[in-house]
Amino acid sequence: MDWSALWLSVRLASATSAALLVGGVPVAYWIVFSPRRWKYIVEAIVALPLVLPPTVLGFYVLVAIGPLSPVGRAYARVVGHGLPFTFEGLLVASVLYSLPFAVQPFSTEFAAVDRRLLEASWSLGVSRAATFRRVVLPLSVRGLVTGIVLSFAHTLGEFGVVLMVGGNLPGATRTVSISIYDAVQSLDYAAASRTSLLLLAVSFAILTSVYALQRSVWIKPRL
Amino acid sequence: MDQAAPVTLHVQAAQRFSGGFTLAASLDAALHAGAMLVLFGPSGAGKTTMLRQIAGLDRPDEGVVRFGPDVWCDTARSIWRPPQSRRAAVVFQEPSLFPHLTVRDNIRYGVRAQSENAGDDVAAIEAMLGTADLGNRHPRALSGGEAQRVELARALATRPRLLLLDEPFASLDAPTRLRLRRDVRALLQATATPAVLVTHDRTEALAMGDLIAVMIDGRVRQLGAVADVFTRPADAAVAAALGVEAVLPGRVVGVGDGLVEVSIGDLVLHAAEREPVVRGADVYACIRAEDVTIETRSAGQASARNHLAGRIVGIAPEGPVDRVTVDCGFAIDALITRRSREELQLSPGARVTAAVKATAIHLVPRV
Repeated sequence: MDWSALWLSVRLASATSAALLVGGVPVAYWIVFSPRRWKYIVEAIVALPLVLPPTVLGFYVLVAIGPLSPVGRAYARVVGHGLPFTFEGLLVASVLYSLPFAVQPFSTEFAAVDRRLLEASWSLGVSRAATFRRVVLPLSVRGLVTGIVLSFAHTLGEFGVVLMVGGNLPGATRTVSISIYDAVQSLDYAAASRTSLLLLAVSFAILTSVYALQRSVWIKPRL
Repeated sequence: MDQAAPVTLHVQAAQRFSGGFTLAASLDAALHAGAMLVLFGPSGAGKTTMLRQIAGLDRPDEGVVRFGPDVWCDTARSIWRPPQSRRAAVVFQEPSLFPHLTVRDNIRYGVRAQSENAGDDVAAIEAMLGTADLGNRHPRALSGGEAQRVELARALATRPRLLLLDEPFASLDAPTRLRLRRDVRALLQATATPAVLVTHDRTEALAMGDLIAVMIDGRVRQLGAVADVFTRPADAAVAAALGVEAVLPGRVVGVGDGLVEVSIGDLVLHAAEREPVVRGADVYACIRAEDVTIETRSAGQASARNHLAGRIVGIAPEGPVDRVTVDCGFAIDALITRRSREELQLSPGARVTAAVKATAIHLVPRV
């Protein structure tokens, strides 16, 4: 088994989930609580990775972070090397690719919080931000966990985007799904089957826990 | 109790809703410390919308909300104070306690950590509302009455300048409701907090209100002291909204044998004791015009306990019957058939006796 590829995938998935927790919560908050009429456009953009072929997303990310774009050039000037075919480049692509898997469970759960609780909190003198922190977030734990776990699992299994943006550099951008592809290309079916079985088991375990969470097997439902 | 000058609550709000309902209400109420203004009216009259405008939870299309010298909203001058800075705590009809917090944490939720004596205040409020023993329980383990008590404690713990109550007793059973009304009234007076209460229950309006604003179809049709508005409704629509009973303010001067003696002006009425009242209590005696009969001379021995001598001051036809108004120190209406009126030869100025059975007088104690 390609342990270095597996380790890289776990690191990438963890970093992606962490970034989505930090970045996805504000996006979900804005989608749920903003009075803007055009927020459906933002919702559609967030959902795009669900329907877009990974190669298309990967292509655009590659162009956007590459030396042809101002962003890519600025990054290269500051850090000393470009984003494409690096772990950081993969991370950017993964965050975009898994965005709906985090933002949608977050926003579903935020929107499910009874509006009267928010109004009661405001009228008790507690600011909107503090109300979000003290009421909405604690009541949305299930949605937060679901979003984190789903984006972790989704990143673990991504292939097309990684190939487009990261290539196949052992230890830097060669993730576990690419190592399976490599193993099959070199007719090493035994290695491919071991790694596939592991991914299958991990994915199943993760999804089982997500659905158990939704059914409140561990966390008692709130009133 | 704080005897400072009353605070004026001024609301002038226009709001159009997509369903066709339009709120176009204005209100100017001088609220003494601990006083209660009742927003009364049928369902759909705009009472809750009005309350939400005062709370800052809804914004009028056009209008002004002022509390004392503070402008909370003025659309013409683009002034808008969010609910957080109004210090007008809201208690809703359905309990809205934070389900993830214990009773204790719910009650202390809005208490600013830096404010002095906050702990003492909270303890006093909890003692009066009897929520101290519920401390570690979660809201889902509370009964409806307990939850509303916790909600009231949570609102009062923030020392609001104005307490806004949106039918908070409507979903409670009768005994719980009566106890809670009394406790809320006492607490508002102890903390000198003025309050606005939305209700469509006239007994509640009578029992709790000092001032009443009658709302119909999105407008405030009459505002005044509760007894004044009930005895002198401004027009037929207000009278219909308030109900057709005469409402006579009085005081209990005797209780015994299942009868309550109520002094109203110079007269004493006898009413059946339906719920316990004590001597000296302020009550409203409510009498439906259907329950009043007119006698032209003494009927001798009759079962009606109350015989009130007076003079007819008005006769108005009302469908198949006539409404006869008798002045016997206070005005009381009787609904009688046209044939009875003709047989008794009633006309304005005639001396008659209005008779009311003790069981037909409904007493509403003030809390």
